[in-house]
Amino acid sequence: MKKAILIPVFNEEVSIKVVIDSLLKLRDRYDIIVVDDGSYDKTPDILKDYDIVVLRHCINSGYGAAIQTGLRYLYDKGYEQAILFDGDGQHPVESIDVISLEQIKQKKDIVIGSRFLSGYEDVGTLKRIALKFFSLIIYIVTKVTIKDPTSGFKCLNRRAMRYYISDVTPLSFPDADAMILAIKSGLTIIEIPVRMNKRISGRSMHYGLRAVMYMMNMFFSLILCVLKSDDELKMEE
Amino acid sequence: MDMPLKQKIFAIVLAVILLGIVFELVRRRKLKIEYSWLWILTGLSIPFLVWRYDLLLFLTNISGAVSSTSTLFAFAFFFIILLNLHFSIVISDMQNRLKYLIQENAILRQTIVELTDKKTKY
Repeated sequence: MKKAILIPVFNEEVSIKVVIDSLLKLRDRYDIIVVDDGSYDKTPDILKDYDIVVLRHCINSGYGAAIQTGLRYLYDKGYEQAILFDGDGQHPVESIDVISLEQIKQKKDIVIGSRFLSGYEDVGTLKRIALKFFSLIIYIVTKVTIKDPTSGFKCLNRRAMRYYISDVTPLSFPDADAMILAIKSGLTIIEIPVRMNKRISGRSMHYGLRAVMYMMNMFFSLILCVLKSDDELKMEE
Repeated sequence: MDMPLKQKIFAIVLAVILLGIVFELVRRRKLKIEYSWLWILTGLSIPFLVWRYDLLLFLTNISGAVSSTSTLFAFAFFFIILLNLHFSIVISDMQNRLKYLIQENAILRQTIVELTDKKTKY
């Protein structure tokens, strides 16, 4: 089974070496694919030292576009499983095998590594409220409970990859809105408990005014997702 | 009630200048034909309102504006909003196309690397 770990990065010069080094021991089971979303720090130079696939965006295009580039590559190359893994060191390497096996065992299209199933919730109050709100919207619309819809640690099979590279997926903020559309498109999702690490460096892509804009955009995107008809979303088998 | 002659001349001169600039920009390929229509419409609506000043007065009357000048300004403002909306649509479309190009470029670059590696091995 062809499996890959997909790491979207943008200016991760401090953490990327640690993250890639920690992943190299899994190379017998997973290929490592990095999507450099137009980094202008030392990230591209660091990546050159590794014998791994690096897809480089010549212009910064955002997290969603970076994931899509990687998934397009993996889908075309016939990979059967893609594990989305952040380049900031937050995602636990030891959970990669767990999430991969769980996807095969449970036969689900998407497996999400959730912070909130392991009893470890090191997030701020505002973020927690926002996450609960998004979870509630997902539940109301789909009757599926997803406690950590913004988790970037996911395992996708080919059906899910195809969904992410389709025009249907809301790419600007592929979080709660993408989950709703995935479920409405007929994809199956489960969560497994994962204990996230502290970020090695940098800060979240949603900070300050960006966080406010993110909430507003996500809210608007959620409304659009809810209004999308099922016919628009049906995926061919 | 008719429009004063000076106002007529001023409005028509403005319209001619605007249409001339739009035409020249299209001719020099600085402005694409498909993006020029709203500007042409704006340029043509000015002489139209000079010709049918009674229509402007009618619009002033039904919109409750105090004077025909206010109606003209309101219409100009509405046109500018329409133009901005049009630009937003064009920019969004361009952004989508740019994203696709960036993705394609990234994948093609990797394909070149893989092909070069293969060639070196043989």
